[in-house]
Amino acid sequence: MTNYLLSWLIFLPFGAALVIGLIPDKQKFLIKSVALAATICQLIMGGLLFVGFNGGVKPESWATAFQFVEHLDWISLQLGDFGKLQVAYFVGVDGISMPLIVLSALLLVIGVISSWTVQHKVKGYFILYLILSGSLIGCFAALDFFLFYVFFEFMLLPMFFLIGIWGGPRRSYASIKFFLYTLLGSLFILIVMIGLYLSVGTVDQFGVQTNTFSLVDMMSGHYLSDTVLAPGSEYTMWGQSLRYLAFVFLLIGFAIKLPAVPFHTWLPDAHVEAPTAISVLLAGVLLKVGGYGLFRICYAIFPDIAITMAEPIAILGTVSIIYGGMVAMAQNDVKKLIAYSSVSHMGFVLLGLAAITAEGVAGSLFQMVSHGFISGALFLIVGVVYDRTHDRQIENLSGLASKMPRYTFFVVLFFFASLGLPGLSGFVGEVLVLMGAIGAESINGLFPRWIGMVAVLGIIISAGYYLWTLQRMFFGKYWTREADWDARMVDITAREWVMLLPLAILVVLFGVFPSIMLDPIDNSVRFFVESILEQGQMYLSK
Amino acid sequence: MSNPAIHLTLVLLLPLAGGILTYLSGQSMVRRTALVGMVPGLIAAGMLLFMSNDSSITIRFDWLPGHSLGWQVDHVSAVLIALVYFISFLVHLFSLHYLQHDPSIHRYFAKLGFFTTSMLGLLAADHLLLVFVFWELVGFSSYLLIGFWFSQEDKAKSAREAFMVNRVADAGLLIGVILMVMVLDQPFLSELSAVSSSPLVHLAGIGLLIGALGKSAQFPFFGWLPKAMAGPTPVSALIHAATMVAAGVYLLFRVVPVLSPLVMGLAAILGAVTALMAAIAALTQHDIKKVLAYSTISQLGYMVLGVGVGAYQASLFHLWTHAFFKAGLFMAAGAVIHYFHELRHDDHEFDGQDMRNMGGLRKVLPVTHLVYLLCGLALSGLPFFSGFLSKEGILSGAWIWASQTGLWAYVVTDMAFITAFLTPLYVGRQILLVFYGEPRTVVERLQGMEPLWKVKLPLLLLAIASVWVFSAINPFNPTGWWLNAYLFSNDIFRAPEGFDYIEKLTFGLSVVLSAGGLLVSYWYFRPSRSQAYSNAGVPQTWYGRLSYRGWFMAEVYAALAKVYDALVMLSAWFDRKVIDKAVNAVGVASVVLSKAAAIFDREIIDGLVNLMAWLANLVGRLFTGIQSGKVQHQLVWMMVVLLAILLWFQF
Repeated sequence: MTNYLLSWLIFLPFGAALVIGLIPDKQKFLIKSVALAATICQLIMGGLLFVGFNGGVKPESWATAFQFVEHLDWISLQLGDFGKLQVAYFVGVDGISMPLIVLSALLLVIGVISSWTVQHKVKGYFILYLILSGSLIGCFAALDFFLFYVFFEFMLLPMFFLIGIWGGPRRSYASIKFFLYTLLGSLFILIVMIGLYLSVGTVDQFGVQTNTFSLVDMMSGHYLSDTVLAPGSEYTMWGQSLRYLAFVFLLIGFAIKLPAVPFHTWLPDAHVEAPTAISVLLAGVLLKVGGYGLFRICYAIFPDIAITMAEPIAILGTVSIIYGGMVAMAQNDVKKLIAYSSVSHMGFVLLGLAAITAEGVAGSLFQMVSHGFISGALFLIVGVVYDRTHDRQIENLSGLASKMPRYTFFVVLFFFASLGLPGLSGFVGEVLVLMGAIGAESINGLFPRWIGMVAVLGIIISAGYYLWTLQRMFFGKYWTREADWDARMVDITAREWVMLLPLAILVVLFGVFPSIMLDPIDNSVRFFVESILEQGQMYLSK
Repeated sequence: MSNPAIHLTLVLLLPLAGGILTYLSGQSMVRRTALVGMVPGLIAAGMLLFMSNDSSITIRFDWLPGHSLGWQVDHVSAVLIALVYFISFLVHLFSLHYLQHDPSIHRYFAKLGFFTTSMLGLLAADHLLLVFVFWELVGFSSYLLIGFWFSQEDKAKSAREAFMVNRVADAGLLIGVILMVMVLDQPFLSELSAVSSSPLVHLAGIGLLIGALGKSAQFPFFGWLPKAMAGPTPVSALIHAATMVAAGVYLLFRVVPVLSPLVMGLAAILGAVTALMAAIAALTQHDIKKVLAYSTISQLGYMVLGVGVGAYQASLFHLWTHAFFKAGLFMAAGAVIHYFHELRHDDHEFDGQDMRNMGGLRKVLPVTHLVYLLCGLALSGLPFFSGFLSKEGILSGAWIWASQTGLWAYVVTDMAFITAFLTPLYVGRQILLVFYGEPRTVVERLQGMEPLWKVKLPLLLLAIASVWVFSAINPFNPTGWWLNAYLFSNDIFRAPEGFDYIEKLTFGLSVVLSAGGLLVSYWYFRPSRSQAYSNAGVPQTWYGRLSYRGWFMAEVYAALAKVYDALVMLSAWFDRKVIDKAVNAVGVASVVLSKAAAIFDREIIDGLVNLMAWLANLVGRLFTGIQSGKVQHQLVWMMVVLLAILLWFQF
């Protein structure tokens, strides 16, 4: 099975969705069980992937950088003078995608458990959920741009319906905003994809040109001579080289997904309306697709522009960190607060990547995984209150610590994890990113130190809003706005324990022993950094 | 793992393990479990003193790729670890008595254990990143302890404010640490080497200094420490007197090699300024703990000054002596507070920390009185007490520094000397107001207020440690600390050649100042006058208010928080009204555009098609007239067309 591990991971949920399609609507428990079984299998396979991943060898080139590779021809069309259209089913993982796949597999299980309370249209819900789940993994595993794009788009639709049908009162506004905004992003990506397809490929000894969507070829720089996106090409638009524009397009496309300021306003709306489980997935995994896209496509294919654009990208990250945190402070809805804190924390991903140092890039990846645990848990925590009161306003509750001590324990743990307390996973990601960003000037000189130093203010800002929330909602005298809430304010249930405890353990484990994740990916990260810098300089000199 | 590694792990983790055990076994078992971790830990820490005798224990481990972190226990660390253990042990003991009726006492011991482990980790950490890790954990656990009674809103608020002020300073520290690790390449405390001055070195030094100022409650951060008094009093003894607040001084002591003269000067100035400001604030407080809080800030100011002027060994000495007498004072104050709590526990209006309600307590709390007296005299800097010896070194160091630095530096030194006069003044005032004179409220002897083990033992141990012989044999020799050889291989701060007169002058001046301060306090607060104190209100003069309100630090922070809140509101407004509006505007615009396109499509494009059809129809209809089917008509039309063609070719 390990030979086809990735395919199993991707297609098992699709299969399960089919099976659910055959189950009658009324068998709700069976439907849920099938979904749970499928995601648990995914988690087990994710575990196998983690264990089977060999991080001991530093790759020589992009061609050898991937493991668990599967390659099948999928679409092959002769297009006469245009050569051959070649789309492949091409999947594989390296140290950049592997942790994200494992993270997804974990959160998908927790999402199913959290969805256990879904009451109406159960069948549709879980079919969509499973389609989303397969597409997510597909997105992280795809090594063919076309395939990546298919999965990328495939995630959008289930998400749209999951928010639009099972969401809160303003769900239609939120879901359409989410859909259109991210669709806009993917259009930018589509344009670049076509441009890259036209520019990358091989010419055999008979002079037959074969274009390709293979990301590996694109990363390795197998450009056809005199094509639009080849390094050093003469083509320009609006006075800018096409490579530059392509990078900017991709950056916008993925920055929307990440989201980075100022492309972030879809996120709070989507989160507020989404059901808890979908919020968990949205914050925990979907945002990481944006970050992953930056790594795999934006940076790895356009390293030259990544180098020249390092400073504005770093500033964008820092602005996200500070601005997102400050807006979070102003929120009264806990869910919105956490949504904005996600914007702030994803800013670290951008900042660390911009530095292109080993610390920054590893920190950026670590931050993605750690934020997956923490934000997933935070949305579950909001779900606990929302399930009991159908309200999320901070000022409507106080003194919960006296009434729900176990719940408060988790809240304090995850709040402090999110504000970067050492010993918990959030700190490792942030400190690595800051080390990379402040050290960049003396390591590769990509951008000045002050940017990273300003980003350090983020640790004050995040402490500000979390402690303020703790004080207002959890400390002080116990009080609820509506008297009838009181009867429902019971401490966390067994189902909530099952969801929160694994995340709590992981947050502590990754905080104390970050090498669990950092060691296996170390070689990939180092190779990524070196190849970006080398290739970038090479392209720039053309 | 090698032997020392196991040993060190045990030393560090035992308090935490004990705390967790106490928590899990619940409230009813607390009396049996509270000391389970501390007793073996204390023994192990004592052994550490001898293990690190020959060479320091160094352990390196990989934590982040490319950065191996490390522990190191040299003599300084070993001594401070033992100190923290000792005080923490006594605090554990005392807390058993102090919190005996609290239903959450098991939670308290878990937090206390967590704090102790964090503090020990900070002392054993060698890599700056590791220092930062434990630095933050210390802050976090103190947040938990200050907010231990979280259901009281003001206590939760105090905890948050204390954490926030620390966090601001920690941002500075983090910048300093990262610069040291990533740019200056000096990650290990034990391997620091002097670096030539450059803007980056200044910046890194200032970052480290800011962190230290925050944790050690120095100007402009000292406002958090009086707030932190919201925690249980034994906690104040441990955290806000002996250990956590000393962390800043400890860090400065460690990083002295890389501090540029600029940063050292800054430290000296800020230390002296804080010492004076806090001493002035201590003069007018009514709350028994607030006096001690400001006095702690003031004494820490001495220590920071000591580092700044280069007398850092004397600072460490003062850290050591201060830990004992201040912990003793806090615990004795705790005994007083506890006494009033037991005496008047039905009366919720009664403030058992307000000195206006006290007076004459020496009769009902004799041991507490004795301890307070001894520790207070040590704090005053009277000869024959430990505080005199350690303060002496800092004062003469400051004087020598001033004489070498320039005229302005004497201002700094003078502030330190003025503080030396103010310290006995507020100490004397407090002792007289609390223990002497006639009781200002009804007091009576209560049984079991000073139980033998849990209260008398810790209090008396700390009081005895404040007597000179436990610091140095010669009560007048500030360089005679018996740990000097162990800590610094006798490379201690001594007046350089030609500066002996300064040491002598300092000595004389200190004696005069401390005795004078005590006398003045007696003049003002002697028993016959202290009765009127029960009606004392809040000072009304501007200087009185400045002192009573602690230089309005809380108000300054509140104003800063207001500014920040305004910025927060502004950015939230911007987010909603500008960015999101723009997004929605794009959405609306695209809807409008598509409506327009629909109209265009329907009216123009479709219209064109319809127009064509209509035109074809028209033409068809026109020409149907021609096709009448009559031969004559056809002939006529043929002629017309023929004519037309001819005419066409003609011209």
